[in-house]
Amino acid sequence: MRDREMKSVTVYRRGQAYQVDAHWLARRHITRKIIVYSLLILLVVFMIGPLVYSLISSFSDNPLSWPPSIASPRLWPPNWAAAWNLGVQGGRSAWTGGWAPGGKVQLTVTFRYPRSNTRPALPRVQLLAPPYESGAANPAPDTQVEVIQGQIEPVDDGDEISYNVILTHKGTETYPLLPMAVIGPAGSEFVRATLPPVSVSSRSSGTYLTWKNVTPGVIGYVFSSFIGAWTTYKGKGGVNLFPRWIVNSFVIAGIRILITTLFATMAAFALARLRFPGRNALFFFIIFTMMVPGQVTFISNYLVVRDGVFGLSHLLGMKTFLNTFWALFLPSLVSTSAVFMMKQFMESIPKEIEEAARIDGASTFRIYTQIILPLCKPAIAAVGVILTFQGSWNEFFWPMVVLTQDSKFTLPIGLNFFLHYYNSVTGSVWGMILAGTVISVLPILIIFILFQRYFVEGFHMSGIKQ
Amino acid sequence: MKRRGDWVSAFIFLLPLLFTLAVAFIYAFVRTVYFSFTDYNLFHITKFVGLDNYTQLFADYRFVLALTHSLVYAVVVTASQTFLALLLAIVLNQKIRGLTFFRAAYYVPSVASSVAITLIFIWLMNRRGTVNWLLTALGRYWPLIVIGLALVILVQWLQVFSERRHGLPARAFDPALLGISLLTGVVVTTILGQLGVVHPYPMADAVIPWLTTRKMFLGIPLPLLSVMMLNIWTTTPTMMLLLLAGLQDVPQELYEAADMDGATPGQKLLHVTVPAIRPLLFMVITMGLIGTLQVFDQIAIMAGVAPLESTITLAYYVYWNMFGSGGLPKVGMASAAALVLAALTLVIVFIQRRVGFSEKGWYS
Repeated sequence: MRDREMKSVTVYRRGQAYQVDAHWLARRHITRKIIVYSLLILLVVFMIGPLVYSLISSFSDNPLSWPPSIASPRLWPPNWAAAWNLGVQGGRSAWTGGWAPGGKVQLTVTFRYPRSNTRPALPRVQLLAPPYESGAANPAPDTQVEVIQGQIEPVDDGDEISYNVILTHKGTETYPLLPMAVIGPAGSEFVRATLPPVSVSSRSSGTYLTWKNVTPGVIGYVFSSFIGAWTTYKGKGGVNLFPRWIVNSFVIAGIRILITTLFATMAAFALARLRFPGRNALFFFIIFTMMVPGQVTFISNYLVVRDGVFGLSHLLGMKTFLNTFWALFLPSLVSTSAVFMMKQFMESIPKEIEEAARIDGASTFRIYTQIILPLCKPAIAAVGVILTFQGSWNEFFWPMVVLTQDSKFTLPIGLNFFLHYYNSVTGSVWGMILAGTVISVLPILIIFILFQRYFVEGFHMSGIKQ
Repeated sequence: MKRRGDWVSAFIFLLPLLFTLAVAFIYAFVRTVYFSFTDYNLFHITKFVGLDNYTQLFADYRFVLALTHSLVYAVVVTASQTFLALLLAIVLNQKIRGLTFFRAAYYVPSVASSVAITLIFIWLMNRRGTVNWLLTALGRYWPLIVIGLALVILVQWLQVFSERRHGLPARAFDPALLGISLLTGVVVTTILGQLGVVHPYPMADAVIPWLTTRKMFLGIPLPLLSVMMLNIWTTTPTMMLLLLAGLQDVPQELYEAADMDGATPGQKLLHVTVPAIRPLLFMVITMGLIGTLQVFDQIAIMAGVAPLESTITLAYYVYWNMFGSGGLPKVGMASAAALVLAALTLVIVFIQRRVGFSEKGWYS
């Protein structure tokens, strides 16, 4: 037998036996491993990349820049120090900044000029009005501007001249934002500034640099898109609605978890443990309902909710359940997929435990509360809490039908509304939309990372619901 | 042990479920059927109109569009995601360390809300978005890519040829040789590019309006195609994981026996792999069809950006008739369309049952 030889192995390919070197075979195994893992990692990049990319871009001044760039000045630590200093100078707050009485801000801007004998004109400074949607007051009347020429540094093909822009608060009011533009004379080239401007554009009339806020503070600077998402859309009485949507989503998910844990375990207990006529038929019917699209039943459900569930709403003093959270719970009081999964789990609990309790004279209710429920803790955690939270947090169709008042929105509806509201494709707005998206994904992502196992099981069990 | 009181307590325990099923499902279903024969509009007195809604439905060009879109969407997405998932699963079919990590990464897009994912996609597919930029880069570097690929094939062929001459059983895609070929291809192409022997193609920026357009590609509107890509991207890895789990249960001896019998890789795929995972494959396909036929969220979100006629699907058509058109809700039309959607779904469920799937095989 050739097999006895140390370095020779028999390999079959297409019905032929080959004698090959063991190293030859080992090399193939190793390279195959390398190829497989490279592919796995490539897929990870492909799947997570867009999310990470949008996270980074939510810190960008313009997420639609061309070519796309992941270099964001807001994630560059030296700029944090600048934002800190400017925040202290302008608003006496290193974190949140602002433009407060007595504030005095000095910003150094450097331009490059082609070499010439005449001295270039000083750059002009224009105080801008805060963006309309921020609702902030215009600080221009209370602000005094002064521009002083600083040092001149010769470089190979010209001179770099620094200017100190000094802004002084002369009034008595505090402003949240201090937007500004510095316009260098035509032919000048922007080199650097204490705090990088959000946009630089060269026109025939000069080089325009703009800042959304000269006194941002660290948080105001780094998280400016997030603050924009949080505060831009206001409801009645100037209340920020984005945080309201987050609260709504959490409250609804919390109530859903309670309802599902109670009702789905009850139904699953009956289906798994009690004997009654039509049990199998009922179970098949449940599977059937899971496959029927929501669009088939939503018309009637909408009417039922609109009429206050056969007038039940009048007991609570409401004419209709539309635009209330009641509307969200009633048609899905018992989630059939949760019942399905709970039932599968309960069937795995040994019958003997229950039988013993019955012989001891325990009632069905006691068996449910004192034996089955404690044994079902893992299923309740997985299905009742985690998957229900995910389903509720991400739900889109039904909330969109019954919640039309912006103060009642859940986060997905609110985000979708953001897109319609801004209904434009200008770059700066995408920063806010992406920031809102990141905020909405964060809770579910954290829960997913912590409880990954439950999600995977859930996916496999409720495969029908994609 | 027979327990007589059981059905009474069972009824009590089932009460919330039965209430939900009765009101939110059976009553709702019956009412939808009823509405589909009336001209109800939420306000006026209802009149019985017989089959008018159904005839009107097929006369409405939007419904015909929605129906074709839904069918095309379901078939294309299911076919592509199943094919890609199977391909990936076959390539990756071996013992993988750290599978928990990879699995977690692949599930992330399915865990995040459809709204979040769709918004990110709308941003990426903007006229000035990253997708167009990547396409521009691809368009500029295609001469290099083509030359690189040609080099890889050439080097691979040379190596396989020489190994076979030495009596070694090298396969066409032999991993060890492929590694060398890929490396050679990449390095040589980079050098050629650096030396200026091969030039990138001077192409203008690709500014494809993926979403805000009525343009078609192979008869599919571009916005719908974008949603398809989004869906394929989200679900392929999860399907791949399902199939991979199935593949790893296929006994290795079957492949060894096939090798001894002289099976080609293609024959092994068709006669060993596919039969072994047929139930799973069938589940992935039917699940995919049911899920994709009912696509709504992504379409509804895109509706804020793309023209209605370029994205509308059956599920969205139902919603649009109720709340989207701006006029009085056409409850009758919506109901009739909803029933068409339900019928399509039930046909697939019926096939699934007929082919003989026990409910256990479904959810494994």
